[in-house]
Amino acid sequence: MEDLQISVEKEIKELPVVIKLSGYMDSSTSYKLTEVVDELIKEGYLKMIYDFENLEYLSSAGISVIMETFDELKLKEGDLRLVGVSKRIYKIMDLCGLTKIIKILSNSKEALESFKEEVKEEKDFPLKINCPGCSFSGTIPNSDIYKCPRCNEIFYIDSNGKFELFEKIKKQEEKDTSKLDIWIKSDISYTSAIRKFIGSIALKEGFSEESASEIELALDEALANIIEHAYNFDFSKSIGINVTIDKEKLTITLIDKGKTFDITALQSKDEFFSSKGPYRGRGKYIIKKLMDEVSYISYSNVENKLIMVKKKKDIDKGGDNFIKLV
Amino acid sequence: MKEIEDLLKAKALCEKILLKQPDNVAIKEKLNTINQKLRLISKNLNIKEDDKLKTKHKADYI
Repeated sequence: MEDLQISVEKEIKELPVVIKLSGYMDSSTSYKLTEVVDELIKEGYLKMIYDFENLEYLSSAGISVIMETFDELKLKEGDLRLVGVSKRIYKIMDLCGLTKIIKILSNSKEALESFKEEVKEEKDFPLKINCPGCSFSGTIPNSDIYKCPRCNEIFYIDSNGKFELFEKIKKQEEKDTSKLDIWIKSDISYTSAIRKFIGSIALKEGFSEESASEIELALDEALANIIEHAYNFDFSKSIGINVTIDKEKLTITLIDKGKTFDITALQSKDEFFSSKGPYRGRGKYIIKKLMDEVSYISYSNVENKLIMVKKKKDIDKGGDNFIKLV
Repeated sequence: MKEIEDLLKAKALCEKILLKQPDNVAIKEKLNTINQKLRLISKNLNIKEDDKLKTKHKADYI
């Protein structure tokens, strides 16, 4: 009968175990490797080298066992290397995609060296790090669980400076936390409800009360300007409001189909503050002052877009460094 | 409520780490501290609810 022989060379737990396999590894024999490996894992050996030098045959059942071991070791922060793989066996492993997942080296000596290279040096604390969820940079005093003040990501950082995340980082497009798209009547009585609503959303999304009230005021002024100048108080018209909030900023886009009225074309500050200055037009000035970016796009009197951006300040973001959670 | 949410996330993170590193003493201690904090918050919330009820009963009686 074609059999699988296994011999184990082990020293201390910190060093890799060399498991020499010879003979046939198929559906009737591969369970033997599972038994040996399970026992070693129980004993605390988490780094392993499978030596295939004398392995003559490997079937899909054997490949499954190798993959199971690899996954279990990885889960427990261990690892697996394969050495002495013949061309024939390499071809089968390559067909199953194993060669892309598990490191294959020529001999045990090389494999032992590769494990040594992976032993990371402990990092010196305090350590300057970038949040794994956003671009925020800060300094942490020691290995612990922290919360990012900007994106609220919760993560653990170990003594090697390696991150463990509460959940997988979402893609950038999934990070837009709030989106609002509505059309309202060009009626001054609607503006109060809308600005309060958007102000409360800004608060909920982490803006400070001061920033939220600035957003409310800028929105109020912008809506009033559209109703008066673009639509000339024609209440049958409508205004489109699009709001997007992500971890960094709030963007309000107001759309109207009235007369072009470039809100970004401002009188100078000196004109407002002189006694001979204009009585009107201060709304535009306030918007420019309160919002971080203001732009106006007009499509030849067909559609006008006013885009106002409010960026989160450090105070909105909850501080200027990572927050130790417990 | 945000504090509870953060603590629950931290607790889940500790449990995730302990799955990989069952002998990580620092994380075990951290998990205990988180559980204590959660219990304390829960107790305080219950006390506040009890106070509200007492006040309400008193008001009903008067």
